[in-house]
Amino acid sequence: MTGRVPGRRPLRTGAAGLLLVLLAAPIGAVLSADAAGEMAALRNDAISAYNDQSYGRAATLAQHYLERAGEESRTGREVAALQFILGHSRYEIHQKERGRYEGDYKADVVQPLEESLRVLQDDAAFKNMLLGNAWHVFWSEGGRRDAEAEGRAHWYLLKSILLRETEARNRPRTSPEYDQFARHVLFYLERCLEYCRTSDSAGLYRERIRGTAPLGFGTAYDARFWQIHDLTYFDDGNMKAAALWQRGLDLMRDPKASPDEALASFTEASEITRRRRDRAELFRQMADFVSTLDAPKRRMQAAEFGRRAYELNPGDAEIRRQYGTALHVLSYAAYASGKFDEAYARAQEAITFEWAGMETALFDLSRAAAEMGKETDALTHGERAYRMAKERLQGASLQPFAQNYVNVLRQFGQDGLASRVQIDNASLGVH
Amino acid sequence: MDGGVPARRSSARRGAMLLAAVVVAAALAAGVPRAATPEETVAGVLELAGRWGGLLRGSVAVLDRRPDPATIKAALTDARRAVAEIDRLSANAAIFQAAPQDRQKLQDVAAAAHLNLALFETHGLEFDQARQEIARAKSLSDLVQSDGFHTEWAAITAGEPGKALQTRYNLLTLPEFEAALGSIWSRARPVPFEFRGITAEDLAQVRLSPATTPPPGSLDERLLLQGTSELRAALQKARPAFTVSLPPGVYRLQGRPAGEIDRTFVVPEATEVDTVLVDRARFTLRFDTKTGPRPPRFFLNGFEVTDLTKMPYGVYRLKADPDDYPTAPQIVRFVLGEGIPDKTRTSWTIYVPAGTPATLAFDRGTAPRRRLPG
Repeated sequence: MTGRVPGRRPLRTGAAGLLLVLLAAPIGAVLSADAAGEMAALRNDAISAYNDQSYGRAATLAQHYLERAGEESRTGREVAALQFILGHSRYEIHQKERGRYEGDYKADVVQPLEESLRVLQDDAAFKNMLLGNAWHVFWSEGGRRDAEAEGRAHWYLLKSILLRETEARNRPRTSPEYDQFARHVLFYLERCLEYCRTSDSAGLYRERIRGTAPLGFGTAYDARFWQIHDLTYFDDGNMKAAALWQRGLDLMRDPKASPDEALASFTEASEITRRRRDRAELFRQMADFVSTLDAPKRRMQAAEFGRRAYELNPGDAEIRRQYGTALHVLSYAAYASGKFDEAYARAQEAITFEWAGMETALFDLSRAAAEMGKETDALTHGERAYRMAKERLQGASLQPFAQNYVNVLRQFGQDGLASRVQIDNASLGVH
Repeated sequence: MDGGVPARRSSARRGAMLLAAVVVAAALAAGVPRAATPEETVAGVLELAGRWGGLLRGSVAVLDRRPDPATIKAALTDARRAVAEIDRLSANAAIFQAAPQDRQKLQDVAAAAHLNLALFETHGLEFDQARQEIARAKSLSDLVQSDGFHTEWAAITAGEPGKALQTRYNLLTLPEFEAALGSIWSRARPVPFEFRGITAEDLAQVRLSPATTPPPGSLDERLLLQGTSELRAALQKARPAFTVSLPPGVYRLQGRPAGEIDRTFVVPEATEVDTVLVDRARFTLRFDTKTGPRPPRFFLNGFEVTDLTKMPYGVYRLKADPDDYPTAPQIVRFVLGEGIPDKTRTSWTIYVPAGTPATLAFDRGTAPRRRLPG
């Protein structure tokens, strides 16, 4: 997600301020009338192009103006205004191109904006946000390792939040004005998480997120704000792991992202997560995720992730259920393709621990054992599955367990008992 | 505080979409009627200064989690920026025709912020900067020196998923704050090093290691990292003499494997640190044993040297019975080369040319031996 500044800037903001500034500062005191006229024309054309969002033309004109201003050693507000037009226009052009910047982004975009802001601080929230975004692009395209660029990118964005917060104060949290501010804050928080994933100073973002997220509580995005806020407690505040985990969760829900991309983020998070139960939760999440993907490879992964979660935190009922379910799915698939040995082995593994749904593992074990001629296993587990299911289930859900028990009883010559069970469950459709 | 696993995550099956993507796409696109910017009114300036101050205080919690140097550096940089913002607002107060009491409020906020910054500077090992920040705070406002004033020293946070964060601050008066910072500053002991007769190539291979590794994220660890980094930089430049700050402890300097540079030294907690002089050359020390029944003992950088036939040059501390050796100095500095000995009552400098032994003789005591009580 790139931090795009919207292209359309209403005239009320930078450009309007710009015009006012320029009109208040006529040039020509030290220039000849012709030269002053040319500069004024350049300036006005650049402003017009900028206001029309003709960023290519605006950048070209602003550059010409600044070159001439440089030759004449001119500085001041008007120069600063044109620097802003130059930097912002180039920023917008690059955002539309969506490729890697060909030239020196820092010199071409960041520096004009920064120099301009030093002199012209009108519409400060917007300009700081823009500068934060420009630094972010520089950081991102530079390989995400430049701590100085990261720090500046974060700082300018944070500053824009603080400035806007003052504007939004006293507004109801459900008002359109506060809603816009909340979106701005959310944008900042998402950016913080992005920095956390690669930053050497991720711990600082923990405090920033904790301090800023409450600004979004009670807004339309309350759930997301709480989600990000609560991340700061993951693995005792290990923000790098937390941000990678959240990235995995977001990718998991993004239809355009590949499952392997989400898994890679989860895996990276698991490698740096220190606490056992937090690592276990990551593996549980991975198992849960891949279990939704209908492919043999994913079923295997679900069991593997479930096993790792179980090894790390065997006391967690949800983890046990996840692991047991994954093994059941594998056993079921093996049985369906006639691989009874494998179906038996998976089911056996699934009855080595207690879990909600364990009757399905006993059912799997009984069925596979019956196919393999293991009479005692088939009968014993068939009965256990039936009795356990009877305690937990009713109606149609109970039917397969009763039917399997009847089937194995008949298979191994226990017709009398089979008849009694069949009669007891005739209402379920057991035959 | 028990962080705990966040409330169980929603299942992959549930489709809470990437809210942020939607939000960001729309974010900031629509303009809102522009309110007066915060810096256009006195009240706005005061509020904004308060927010910067709040950001600073909110960052104190970072320092209490044994942060790594990169995190401290980032926090310090942010703290400096926040204080610069407050200073700017305070300096511009006149533009808004702020009433004197409002200007004073801004000065008070700025002073408190400079004290916060002193804390960050200290954790960032910028001790001189920290001292300057305290001086600046005092110059900005008398409030910080008043009895009722307290500043943040530490922050203890308590929170858990689903609940808002609670932060409790450990507050100190200014004298307490300065004393507490001073105790940190004094952990950095300046250690003078001198390397003689060693090639630049060998110097570049010298490594410093502590006898015990400081706890991760501790102040001592940061001081050690900074000290070793400065030492390495100086050695890479083949500087023969320099000073670096290290936390108290026992250290070992080692050169290339099987080389001659191997020196263990102590950085004491309180007493002056002797120069760590590393020289390949050795000398023999002769001592007139007739001057007393128990010869003085020689300590080089905290460790006793017992083999007087292969003495490294350097600064030795002597332990001698004052009854036997009433004129013995406390320190003897053996310097390679020729020169006139320099002797004061407590400290001697003796020049020992290469290949020649040094002879040390003290005047025999004339004072009566101490008697045991009773």
